[in-house]
Amino acid sequence: MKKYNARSKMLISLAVSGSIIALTIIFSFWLSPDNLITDFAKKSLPPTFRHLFGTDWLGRDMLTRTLKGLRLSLFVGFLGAFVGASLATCLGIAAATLGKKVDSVISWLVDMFIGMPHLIFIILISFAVGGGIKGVVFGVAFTHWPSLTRIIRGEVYALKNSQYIQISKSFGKSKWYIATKHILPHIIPQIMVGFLLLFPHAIVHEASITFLGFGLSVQTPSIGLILSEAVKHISIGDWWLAVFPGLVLVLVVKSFDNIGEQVKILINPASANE
Amino acid sequence: MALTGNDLGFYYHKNEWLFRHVNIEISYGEILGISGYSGSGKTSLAKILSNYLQPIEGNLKVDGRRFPQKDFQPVQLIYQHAEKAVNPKWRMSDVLNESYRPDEQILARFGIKKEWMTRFPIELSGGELQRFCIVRALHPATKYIIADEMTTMLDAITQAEIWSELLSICKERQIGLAIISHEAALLARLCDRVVSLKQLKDPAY
Amino acid sequence: MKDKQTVLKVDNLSISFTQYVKGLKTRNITPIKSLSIAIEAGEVLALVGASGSGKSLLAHAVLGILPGNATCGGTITYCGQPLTESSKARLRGKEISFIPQSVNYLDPLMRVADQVKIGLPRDNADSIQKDLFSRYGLKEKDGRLYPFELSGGMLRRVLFATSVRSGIKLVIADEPTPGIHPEALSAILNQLRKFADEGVAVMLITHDIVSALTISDKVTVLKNGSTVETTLAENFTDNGKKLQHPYTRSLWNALPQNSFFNYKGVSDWL
Repeated sequence: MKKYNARSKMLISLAVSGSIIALTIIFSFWLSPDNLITDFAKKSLPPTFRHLFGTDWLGRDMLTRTLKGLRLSLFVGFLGAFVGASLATCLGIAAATLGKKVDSVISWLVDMFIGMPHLIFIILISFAVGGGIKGVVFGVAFTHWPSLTRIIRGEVYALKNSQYIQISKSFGKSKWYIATKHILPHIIPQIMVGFLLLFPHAIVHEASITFLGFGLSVQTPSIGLILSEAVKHISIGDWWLAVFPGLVLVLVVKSFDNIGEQVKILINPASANE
Repeated sequence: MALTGNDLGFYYHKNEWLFRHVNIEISYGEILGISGYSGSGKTSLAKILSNYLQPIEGNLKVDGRRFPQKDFQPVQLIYQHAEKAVNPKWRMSDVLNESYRPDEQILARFGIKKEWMTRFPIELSGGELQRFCIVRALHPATKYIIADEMTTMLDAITQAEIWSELLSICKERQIGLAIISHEAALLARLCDRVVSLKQLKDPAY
Repeated sequence: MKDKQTVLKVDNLSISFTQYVKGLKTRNITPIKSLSIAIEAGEVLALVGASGSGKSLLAHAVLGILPGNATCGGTITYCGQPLTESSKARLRGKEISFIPQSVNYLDPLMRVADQVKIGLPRDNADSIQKDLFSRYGLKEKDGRLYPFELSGGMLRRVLFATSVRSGIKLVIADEPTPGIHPEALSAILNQLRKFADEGVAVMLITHDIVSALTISDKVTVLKNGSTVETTLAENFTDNGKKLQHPYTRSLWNALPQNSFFNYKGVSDWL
């Protein structure tokens, strides 16, 4: 039998992570919203074949609630990571190309934000923009840009001074040519990885602040809300209310993290051939 | 017609002049050797002569005029490490075409094989890459070439081959060539005239 | 001469790398095909070859620092014992010292004097470091600087100072001398010679035959990953009559000090 090489293993692990995320999204649409209708006859049932994750104190199917909640978390996480990565790209490029003053201001901001605890900051920003989904997206986006900004700044800075870009300039090539032909192809993979690795952070932070009651409103089905409600019922023995949603959250977050890390290895020439 | 530097001075750290009051002139078709060792400021001088770096003092003129702002630079620099001078993500044909489209004849003169054109830099040796860098610098509009330790990393056979071709092309096209090297024997064999960086820094020396 | 001990013996070494071509397809490239050398205690062996001939890879194979996608064939014996990955890790820095080619091996965020002190006995690290600095023509104040503040040649000397330790049996110097000042060059070469005279086996990897010849006992010439010839240093003389292989002869004659352009039928265009 042919031995699997390292890259095959990597692709299998990518495929597994990808399917977990895809299945979560597909099932969240496929499961009927009827499962969420209050039905006191089915109140607080432990996991059975009909209700794999059990039901809550209002008789709602926990599997449906969890997956639909996760879909919203994914959406919020995507927006947060997207805005964060875009912000980081702009600031990183600006710091590296717009001269010393801009660089020191941005670097100062990066240092300040990196030193702050994320959660407190997200809560403050979320409050400032009026809470809800908007609050969470902005909160996540504005706290997660600094480390990616730093990476992109360093990358562009090194590229800008690289010999082959100096040579390109000596051939009379325009700034636009150099930016699009030399610099962007180098940093786009970095941005992609940065984006993928921001994703799990964004989801967890969304869940955390909703859990703490600063995030999404009580009506929206989100994973943070499910977990925070579950806390009240754990003491009476309804363990499934917290355990299954928690596990699925961890699984999805780890899947994103895995995809990001694997892609990072693949695009790095020093490790890509191992 | 010449590339002339008047009273050039440069430093990286304030008040620690790397060199000052350097006067230098390279005429059309002339092969000038500049000898110097690592740490003596020769790479900075090479970058100033090819308009990569601005001198802190003095001025530089190509054929009596200032350097063009944006267009193709008539003074081309060839670095020591060819692998740093090409974009690692580009195929070699793209690397060449960024400057101009060289004809078969010049490729053959520098021993560049057809099959190398579709390769990436990592798939070629330092000597093979340096051949590309030289051809790339030999744009029809190139008037002067500054070669900064161009063959230091290469073996003696490759070194002899590359220099013999570059020198004959420079003589044919009347390109002024400044060869910067620490190897006295090499400069003695190649150049019409050799000055040491020490002499340039301090003419009384 | 029979009391001399062979410190390092490399027999028929091959090194190949697996690379991904597209997706999951792999291909093997073999930069080192068949390489054999032997170095005795107290001698300097110069390993000469073009860039890309695989010289540095040999050093990396002996030190066990090849990248993960490399596979080795052949045998490497050190003091009569086959070298394993674990013995490589144990010996490097203790008995086998490496002077790398690139100054990028230095830590950019550490003052150079502190980097030289790594691995020195703690009580007199200061005085040894100062001693090493003066030996390589570095000023005391240079020690407080970071690598980016020093020139290439100075960094090279710092690198050298980091590799000089007691208890060393084999020194591998990978291209330690490009472009440096003649005085610093001869200081480094003399230091390598001094190692050998003290009984250390020295492998000098270089493409600079001329300076290598000033201190070497033997020269091994590499081409395309294979050993072309191992010969005594004194055979590099005249037109290379005493050299066996035509490649070695061309290499010798192509030097600017020798026939240069006319090393073999290249037309005299001048």
